[in-house]
Amino acid sequence: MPPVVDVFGEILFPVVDQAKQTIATAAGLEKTAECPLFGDSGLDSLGLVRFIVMTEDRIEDLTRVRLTLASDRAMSRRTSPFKNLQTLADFIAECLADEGFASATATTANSVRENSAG
Amino acid sequence: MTGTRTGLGRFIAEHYLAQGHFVVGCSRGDSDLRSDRYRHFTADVANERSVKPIFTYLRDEHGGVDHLINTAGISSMNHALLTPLSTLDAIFNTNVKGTFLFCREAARLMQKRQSGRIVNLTTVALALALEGEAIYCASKAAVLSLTQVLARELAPFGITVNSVGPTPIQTDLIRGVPKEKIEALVARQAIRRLGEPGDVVNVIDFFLRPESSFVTAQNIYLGGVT
Repeated sequence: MPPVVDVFGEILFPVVDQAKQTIATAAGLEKTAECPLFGDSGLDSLGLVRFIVMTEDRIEDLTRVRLTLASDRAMSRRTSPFKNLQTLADFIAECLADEGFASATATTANSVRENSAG
Repeated sequence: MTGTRTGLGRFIAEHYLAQGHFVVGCSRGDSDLRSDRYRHFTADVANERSVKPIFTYLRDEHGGVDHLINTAGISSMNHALLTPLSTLDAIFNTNVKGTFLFCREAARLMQKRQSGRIVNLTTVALALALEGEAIYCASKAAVLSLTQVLARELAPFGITVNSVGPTPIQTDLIRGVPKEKIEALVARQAIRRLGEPGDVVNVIDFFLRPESSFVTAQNIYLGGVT
């Protein structure tokens, strides 16, 4: 069984740190599940593009899987996976499950939501 | 590079190998191009699953990609009334979907370095609205649009996107086209001769030069076609 990927700790929070250093509109990003990715307190459109590409890159570094997050599946959702860090974490876990990875998508260890690879 | 097994793509791959570049190429079939600086992938350019490993390889083994040249292309000369829909699917898959997929994946790597060059292939048949090439011309019109829009979208990442539109060149792509059709097309050019692969390479060389960092969203037709 593959190790469980901690989506916040190993993917999204490091990307937030990286984004704050390289994306001008990322200053308002916070390492919380509710942090919005887009809009008034989030990234501008180009910043979001860069954030998503950074996230895809980080996932590939970690898992060797080259995901395309802006997929048909993402675009057809009633709630955008890119709404906030939690929705993105859940979506990443779902995509990784398709690739055989199990993921944890909570920001605290005592309330870990696990998404099994099945 | 895409479409490196034969024809123009093969010529361009050999040109850049001779210049000392490391070339990663792909085509539907195996390649007999042998060089220490050439790596071939067998892939359908329109199939995301078969394309992604090429970019994983580029990322892992070369740390990214400097240039992308999309030469893979297919055509079919036929009157529109005699063109099956499967022809449209095949031509758009290779020429449009393939070009887009490679641009997207290459740009993902290029943006990390904040630099990159993408060159796509259009055709003078597009400017000449060539009869019998409705689907091919429509697909290349899409490539031209892609080139222009991607140039704007990717400019913030230091990536230029341009295209070159060759005249007919004696390659497999025009092997099935009647001689008189080719002669009629050449007669509409300002410079009335078949193109040479070197004519195309010359324009690509220009787009790839470091000094061309301010040149993007441009399409250069050869042979004096406007």
